[in-house]
Amino acid sequence: MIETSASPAISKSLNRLAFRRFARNRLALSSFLFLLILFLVAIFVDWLAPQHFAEEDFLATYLQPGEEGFLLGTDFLGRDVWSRILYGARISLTVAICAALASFIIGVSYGLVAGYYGGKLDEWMMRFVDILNAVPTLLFVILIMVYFRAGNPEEFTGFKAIFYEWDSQLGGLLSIFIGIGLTSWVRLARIARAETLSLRRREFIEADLVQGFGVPTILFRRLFPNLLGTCIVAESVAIPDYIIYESVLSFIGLGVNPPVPSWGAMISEGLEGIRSYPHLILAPATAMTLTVLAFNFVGDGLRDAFDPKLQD
Amino acid sequence: MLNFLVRRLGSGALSLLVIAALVFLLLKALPGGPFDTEKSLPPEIMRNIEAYYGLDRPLWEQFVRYVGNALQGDLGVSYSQRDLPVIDLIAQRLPISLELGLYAILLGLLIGLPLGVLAAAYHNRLPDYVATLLAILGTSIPNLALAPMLILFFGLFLKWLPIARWTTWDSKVLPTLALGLGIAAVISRLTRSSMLQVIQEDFIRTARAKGLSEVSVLGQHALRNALLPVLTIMGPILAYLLTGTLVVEEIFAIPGLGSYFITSISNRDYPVVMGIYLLYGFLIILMNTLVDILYAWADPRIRLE
Amino acid sequence: MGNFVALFLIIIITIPVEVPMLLAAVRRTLCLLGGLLLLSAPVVIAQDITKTLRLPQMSAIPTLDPGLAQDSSSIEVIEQLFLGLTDYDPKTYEVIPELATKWSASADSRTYTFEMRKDVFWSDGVPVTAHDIEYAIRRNINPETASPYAYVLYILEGAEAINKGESKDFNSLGVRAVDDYTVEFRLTQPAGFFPAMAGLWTYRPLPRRSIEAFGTAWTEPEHILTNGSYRLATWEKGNQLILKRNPDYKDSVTQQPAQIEEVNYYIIPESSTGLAMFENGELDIIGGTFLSIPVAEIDRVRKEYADRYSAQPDLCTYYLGVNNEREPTNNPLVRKALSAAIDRKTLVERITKGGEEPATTFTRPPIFGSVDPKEGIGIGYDPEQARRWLAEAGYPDGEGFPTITYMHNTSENHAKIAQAVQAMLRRNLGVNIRIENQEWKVYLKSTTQPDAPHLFRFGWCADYPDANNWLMEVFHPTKSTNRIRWQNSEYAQLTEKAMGSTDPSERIQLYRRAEQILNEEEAAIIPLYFYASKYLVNPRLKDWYHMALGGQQIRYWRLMGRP
Repeated sequence: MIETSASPAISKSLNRLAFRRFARNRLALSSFLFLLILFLVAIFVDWLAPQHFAEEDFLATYLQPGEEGFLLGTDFLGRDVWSRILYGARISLTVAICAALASFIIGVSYGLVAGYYGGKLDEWMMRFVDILNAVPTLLFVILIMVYFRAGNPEEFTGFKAIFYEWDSQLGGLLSIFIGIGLTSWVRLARIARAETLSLRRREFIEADLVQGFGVPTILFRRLFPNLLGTCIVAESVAIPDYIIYESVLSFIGLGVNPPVPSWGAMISEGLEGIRSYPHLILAPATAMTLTVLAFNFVGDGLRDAFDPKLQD
Repeated sequence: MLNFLVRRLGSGALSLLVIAALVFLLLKALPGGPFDTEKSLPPEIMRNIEAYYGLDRPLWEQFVRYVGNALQGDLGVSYSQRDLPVIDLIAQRLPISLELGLYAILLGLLIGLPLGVLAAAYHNRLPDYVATLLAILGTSIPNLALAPMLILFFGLFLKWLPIARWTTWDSKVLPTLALGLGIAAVISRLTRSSMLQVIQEDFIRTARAKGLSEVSVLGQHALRNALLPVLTIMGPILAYLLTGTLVVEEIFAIPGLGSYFITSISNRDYPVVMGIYLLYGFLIILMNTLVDILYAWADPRIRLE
Repeated sequence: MGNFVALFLIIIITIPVEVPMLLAAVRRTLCLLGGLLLLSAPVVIAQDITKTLRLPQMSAIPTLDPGLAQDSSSIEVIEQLFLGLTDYDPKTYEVIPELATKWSASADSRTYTFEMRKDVFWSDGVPVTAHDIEYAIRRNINPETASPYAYVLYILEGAEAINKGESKDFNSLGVRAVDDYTVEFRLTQPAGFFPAMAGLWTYRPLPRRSIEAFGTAWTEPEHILTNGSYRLATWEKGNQLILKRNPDYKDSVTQQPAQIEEVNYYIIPESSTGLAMFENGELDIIGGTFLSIPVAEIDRVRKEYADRYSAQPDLCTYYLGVNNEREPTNNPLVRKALSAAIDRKTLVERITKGGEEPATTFTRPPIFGSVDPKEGIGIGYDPEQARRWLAEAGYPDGEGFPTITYMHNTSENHAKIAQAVQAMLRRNLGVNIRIENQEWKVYLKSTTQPDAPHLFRFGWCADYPDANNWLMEVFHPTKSTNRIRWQNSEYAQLTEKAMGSTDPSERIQLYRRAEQILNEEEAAIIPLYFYASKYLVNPRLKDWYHMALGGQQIRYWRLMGRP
């Protein structure tokens, strides 16, 4: 594994090798290109989408695909489904990146601290991780979202008022990032801890200690870069889960605030009229499947490339 | 062994207590009480109802009382279904969810194991690619997307199967597929990779050298050993089922625990929500312990500390 | 790995050719799978479908205890199981006798005496008497019972004090069994509408022996005692509830038991599921109180089932509450302008599409005390006038008008209406509104705060058919929740006077004036439309009609043949 290599030079060439391996995996590469396009769409969607996601026309509701120039028809409020699908990509990708980042920061810091100090502290920290592990992540996210979402905003004071303001400006995304981040760092914390434990015994850390470097320096300058690779690969495998969490939350009404388009919310809205207007469900379901599929291919490709031992 | 069991049970109980406290605190901190209606009941009536449910007592007392009752198997009564004990509610709905989950696992094994063995047997040949592709597809279609697509295709387009409820055998097919295909994919991937590892081991080479047929080698010797890692994912599969049933039951209008969980969250039916969280935590801890024991029993090399 | 792409392409190319074969294979597999499931399928007891009425209910039925009921599902079933003193005529909503044979009021209209039928029995054969009513009211008003609807009993002497825990003297309660079949109520104030109230579920007789023996479990099928046209056979909570005809029941009108032998309520949380079942012939009715038809499907089912579809008037009004204390909606001119800028006709024809009627007043006709829409009271759609009013208020063409908040509880329908209103206000007044939505429980709290949103939607439905239930109980400045935070002393006096009066024509005049102030002069609320229930009814169900109040009168319906 590359992380065990002490010398940065070797590590770099190994990285290059890994990327070459990744590039040879055509499925992963084309998925990566697909995601790249999706990212571009998400960034430039304001120019690409024919309409704004919330622009409704209550006289042109439930148009079938192709009618009156709407590629995928319109929904129950006369909003352009195609535009909402495109904007939905922005939501899903934002969630994917931000939730991953949130859980990455929490998980890696937790694992670093536990692994570095070891002993009793480590034992207690890991016991807490075990407890959290007893409840499926999604159920915890739901609980936290119920907590975030309930309440009368007009009564909020102090921190919660500020939080609510930011959250509603982001269409409810902030609480989703935090909700997912707060609950899904557990797996990464374990990986980071294990890595730290093994790195700690290595000579270069011993040397740092002898030289009298401070703990933060050792943690973030020396240990962190060495476990970055493993953790990124591990986290990339979890990204599809975050996309699914967001859509499930939106499906059960705890996700983004309407009219922000989320594929999960669109499925939930379409379910009622599934017999008359199947396209309202097919479109978001397909978009979601393709995106998750692409993330899975890329995640697998990365793992295979960086960790050839696991390649089957 | 006994030592291990005691320790696992102890930490399991601790986990449940922490979960209970966490859920309790988060839910109690919520405004918009369970008894608000459009007519917003007069305050004296609210007081009567709150006294009836013991909500007028201090928070810590409510919690202690709750834990004490829970230890005796009493999880309180539902707020929205007046006086219906939560434990009865769970007893009514859990079997349906269990049935659905069981079918899904059976389907997963039925499809996943053969597919995984096939893929390993034809490593890097066409069947392997087909199986792997199917498996990635299977893990990638979220059941939130799969379930409506199944309804559209088999229920509305072909009109072969009912699209909702959980009554006759044919109404159970689509929900089982929606939940089980994902499991099949996971199992087939895992079976394949663990088969590939086992095949390289000495005893397989020995078996082959002895001239045993390929079917016998793979089916008897390799599969038995390859099944171990599959066993370990029973914990994650349970977690997958618990969350999967939320969506699948909601979409197919199945009166199981998952769909009721969603209902009770929007009803603010705290006792029910807490009860379901505790139950889920309990099931997962139980499953993980069970898997550890099974694992040790199946593989003598592993010793339980 | 590279082979994947090729393989994928091959699969996609071959699919069209192989589809029939593929489908056959899939079908075989599914049947096999189904066969496996069949082994474990629970035994379904074959029911005679020609004698069973199959109805959906949206939520698990919360309770069958008449003293504890407060929601429409519970009330629907309770109506079949328990008789009240009075009932309503389905057309005029006049009060007619049920368990009572006749009643009389004292001269000051504060004492009501009801004579009861002698031929009504509990399901254990014991006669239903005035003592059962006396017991029921004493039990429901007891604070330990924690009845959510106990406040409808507050009109009885001594009731409020007992329920608040201030008094324990149950003998001071204004209810008394004069003899076995005569019951007397003493009221705190004259109330012309009391006979309508006396039919409410909280006033219905209860079987003391069953409640005292089994406590909260008395409503279980094995313990429950009922006296209505049906008896409880099975109650699988959250799944289904089966009623069997009560052979001993004799209806006060027809002198006959119910026509249909068995009634089966299925709990179906999703209306799309319910519609699918109806279309499959698995349900006899969908719509109204029996699970609403999904809005998205209305256009299709109206076309496809023209013979089965109908819209029936409902005793509910959809209105926008206005925060009368907040800038700028504290200005009556602004409120009037907003009200006149909303095209209610377009709203019901293009958005709700279900036979709703535009509303300019609050109390839903034909309820007693309501105003006939033909009289033209209230503010209709008049964009010219709306702009003039807004200019008068100091915002010509909407200039300088702040963005106001319109809040609704989360729902597709409400969202649609909110957006239509938003578009109309923008077009007609140049006014911008911000739409927000909240989950129901939270929404209820938000709309009672001083800084509640400027506009918020609510629907009000009749508990009993009298304008007192509307004008007094919803908007009285001090004696109601008064979410609109509106103070008007003339309105308060009018509604109070109308409540005490026993002269029907005087009451009608008082309520008309109150409506005029509320909707026209002050525009303290903006009524949008009167509800309608959309129904799909299987043609085998005869003599069916929609009862907009207090449970369906299933006892008069008939079933002919198969679905």
